[in-house]
Amino acid sequence: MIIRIDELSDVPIYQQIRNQIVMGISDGSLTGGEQLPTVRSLAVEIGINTMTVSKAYQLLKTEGYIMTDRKNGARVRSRIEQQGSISEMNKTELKRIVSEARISGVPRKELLDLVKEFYGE
Amino acid sequence: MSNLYFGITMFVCLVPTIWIMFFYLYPKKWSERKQVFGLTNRKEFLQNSIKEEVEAITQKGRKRALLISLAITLIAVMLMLLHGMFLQTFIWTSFIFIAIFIIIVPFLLGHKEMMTVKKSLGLTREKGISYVDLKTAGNVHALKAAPVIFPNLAGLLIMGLLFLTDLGVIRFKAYAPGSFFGTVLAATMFLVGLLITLCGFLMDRMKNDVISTDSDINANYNRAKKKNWADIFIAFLWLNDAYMLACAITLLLSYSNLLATIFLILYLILMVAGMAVFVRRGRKIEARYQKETTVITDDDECWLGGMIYCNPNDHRVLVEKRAGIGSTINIGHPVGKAIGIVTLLLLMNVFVSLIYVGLVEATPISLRSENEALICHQLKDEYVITADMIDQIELRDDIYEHTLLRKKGVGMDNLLKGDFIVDGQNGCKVFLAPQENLYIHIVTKDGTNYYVSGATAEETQAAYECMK
Repeated sequence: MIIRIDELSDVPIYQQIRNQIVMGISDGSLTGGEQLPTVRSLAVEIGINTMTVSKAYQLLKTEGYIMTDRKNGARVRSRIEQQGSISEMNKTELKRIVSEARISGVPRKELLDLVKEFYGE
Repeated sequence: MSNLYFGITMFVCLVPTIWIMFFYLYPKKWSERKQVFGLTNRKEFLQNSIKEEVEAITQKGRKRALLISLAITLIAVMLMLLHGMFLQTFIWTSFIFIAIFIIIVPFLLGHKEMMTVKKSLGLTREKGISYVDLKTAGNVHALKAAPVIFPNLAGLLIMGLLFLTDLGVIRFKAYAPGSFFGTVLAATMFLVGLLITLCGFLMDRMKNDVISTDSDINANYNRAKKKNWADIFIAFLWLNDAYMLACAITLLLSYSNLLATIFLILYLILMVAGMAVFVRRGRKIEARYQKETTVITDDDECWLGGMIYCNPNDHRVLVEKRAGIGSTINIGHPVGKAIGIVTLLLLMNVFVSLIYVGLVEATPISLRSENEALICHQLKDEYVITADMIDQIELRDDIYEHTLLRKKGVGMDNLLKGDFIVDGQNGCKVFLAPQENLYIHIVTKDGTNYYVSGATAEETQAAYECMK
């Protein structure tokens, strides 16, 4: 799975790493039990501080997407807890995206088609 | 004769390096390379009219570089005929710096022209964008521990053999124990081996390139590249051992300048041949994977002249070179800046040292007798041998029949000065103008052997008459 990092983006780098790993798990690029690179090697590859990668992994661990232990490093969880609901933060984000699309004149169907595509239908 | 040895050694160092640089920096088939004159090779360059333009730029650069390489080779042949230690060292050192700079001039010009082409196509860098493959990050390595440990152990064994010889535990007819000349030489070579090992592991842990959205292609590409690196480092480690062994054999069995020079030249030739094979394999890997490249990471703006990496946002100090072999420093990083400054100072120091060599060579030695003491003087060095120290003294004219091996001091055609091993005897003090042949051999009461002479035979004769 390829991660794309934009150093000049408003989104912090740790958040970019976290978001793309979540997207990778969602679209199947990363499967359950799959090994993730160590904090150090990922930091070296991107050319960033190890603390940034550590923060991303910590966030993913707290959210239940990955598990970490000293022996095996970081792995994608085989069973990710399904809450069946969208978090308040994501609802706000979705509302922003839909609003922007409506202002830009994106037809409702096109937007729904995109959601279906991303959802994998 | 040593002038010729020096000339041949310098020739073997410089000329093949220039030709390797020529073939590496100025490829015939630019479309198979990852970069063209230090600029990311983009698919847009292959469009019909643009392709012709890029072809013309690369061919022009190649033609210029070919002429420069031929001129350097010719000049290097002529420089082998130079005489005089200072003149040789100064001209060769300056020429090496100039030659390496001149051979990259067509590259820099080509880089400038390619920048114009890129600009005209409206190709801009996606600023601050980098890609990482999660499957290859930190996982692709080719250098294993065992193939590195064995040659280092072999080096340690050779060093041990020389150390035991120096301690007198093992004895060889031609070698004087206690001088530690062999041990120091072997230790230096062993350290070179350790340095090669360190460089090997650093290159093996370099960032993996992302060239495709397919992780397998990325993994195979990076593995192939790192395998090429691992092979060359292991080959260099064994070569270093072979040279160490050759030096040990020469020292322990029968020292000869000619043999030592032949081994050195062979070592350099094999090293350059290894580099040539490495470059050839590297080019094949690039050509093979260029067809499968789908992800372009364009950080051209961080590469000054396509050669010097400067990216303050990159936390890495060492990055893989774009033009050339190995890694280079990121001068945008504080540590990179410090390394760059130290390297510049060291290069400047080379020329300061050369001025000192010139002074040593140009200052004649003097030998005089004063207050019943023999005084040998040159620059800041002085030997004073008083009459009551002397046990035996004789005037001789057979200096060329002796084997003199320098431990510490100066060894020039017109001056031998310092601590030497003479005919296998350790701890000899030498202060000679060897071209005069006439010299005084003194054995002091404490058993030290002095081989001294003045700048002229008359000066030596006069000093001998006074001391006799």
